[in-house]
Amino acid sequence: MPKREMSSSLMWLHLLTRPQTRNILEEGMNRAAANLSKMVNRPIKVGEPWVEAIPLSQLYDHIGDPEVATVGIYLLIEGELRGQSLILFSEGDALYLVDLLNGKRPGATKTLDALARSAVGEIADNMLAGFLNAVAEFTGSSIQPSPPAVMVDMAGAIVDVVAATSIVANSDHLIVIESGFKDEDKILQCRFWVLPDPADAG
Amino acid sequence: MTGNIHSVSIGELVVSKSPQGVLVAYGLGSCVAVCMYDAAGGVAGMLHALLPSASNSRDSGNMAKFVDKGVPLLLEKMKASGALKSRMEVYMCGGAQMLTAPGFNNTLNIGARNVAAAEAALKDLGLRLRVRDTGGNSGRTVKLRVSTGKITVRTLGQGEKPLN
Repeated sequence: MPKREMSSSLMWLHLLTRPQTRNILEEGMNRAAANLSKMVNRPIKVGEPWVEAIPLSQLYDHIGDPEVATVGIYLLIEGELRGQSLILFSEGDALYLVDLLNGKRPGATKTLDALARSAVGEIADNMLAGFLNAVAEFTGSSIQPSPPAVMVDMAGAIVDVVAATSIVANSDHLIVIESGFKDEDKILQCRFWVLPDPADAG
Repeated sequence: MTGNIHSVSIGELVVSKSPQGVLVAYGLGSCVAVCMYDAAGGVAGMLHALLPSASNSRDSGNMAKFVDKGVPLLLEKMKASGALKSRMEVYMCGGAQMLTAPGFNNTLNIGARNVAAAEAALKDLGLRLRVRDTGGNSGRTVKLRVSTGKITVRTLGQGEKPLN
């Protein structure tokens, strides 16, 4: 990928469409997983990332049950490459994650209070930072995650946030780079979404 | 609530005369669901819209994702199914602000803008809102029963509650 002087939209176009940039996305997801692994002190497997255009009408089918209690961490991607990220855990997995992070036995954390939410936000922030580091290195651009916003609610309501900011008026599709993460016991699972800035993805 | 569930997904509007039908919008966040009901005609309709306005759009495709276009479309479809405007009961749910962290409030207050757009669209059509459950910071599932026009709203914290 040519460095420098590339607009955010051109960088996204390269990342999303060129076969040779696939390894950048893979490396990004690997680093996100490595950061998660370091924080919870256990191996994390990462699925191969894929890029897809999800039709708005199928968004809820894509996420599964739109009513299920979910923890979603929303972050903006800021700098020379702009976009947003959403990291989704089930409520149970988020509680488990907080236990792992604090070195407690699984089941010790019962509710996602302010402190636990902040811990989950921190984890997401680190994961996205790992992904963005890889992209920044390859593109020679300066990119940072915003502070995280943690939501605990129905999955559909959480996904509304990225739909409303990504769908923009001109498209009925949500462009998403997605990967799945699991720990070795497959207890902990999460979905990691990166979405190009809507103005750049059109 | 039993019956034949018709899921109304984002950017969809559904009108039903099926007495067994239940129209459901699952997990509304900043989206709004506008419900219309004509008891005498036995017609119920629901719009599940994502964005307040089509004004900046080059899109000529799906207009039901916009509140300002979707509300008049819903009224038209209700009338085409035999509903009368004079008998129409109108309800609205949703429009929550999901992001409450500092720094996101101003740019992403789409929920409030969706609610305002629906109020304006209904006023333009001369329709009065009967009951609403809008705003706040929680997701909602909204169910409208075709046979009775009864609406329930479910949130994670509060469970399922009747709206009307």
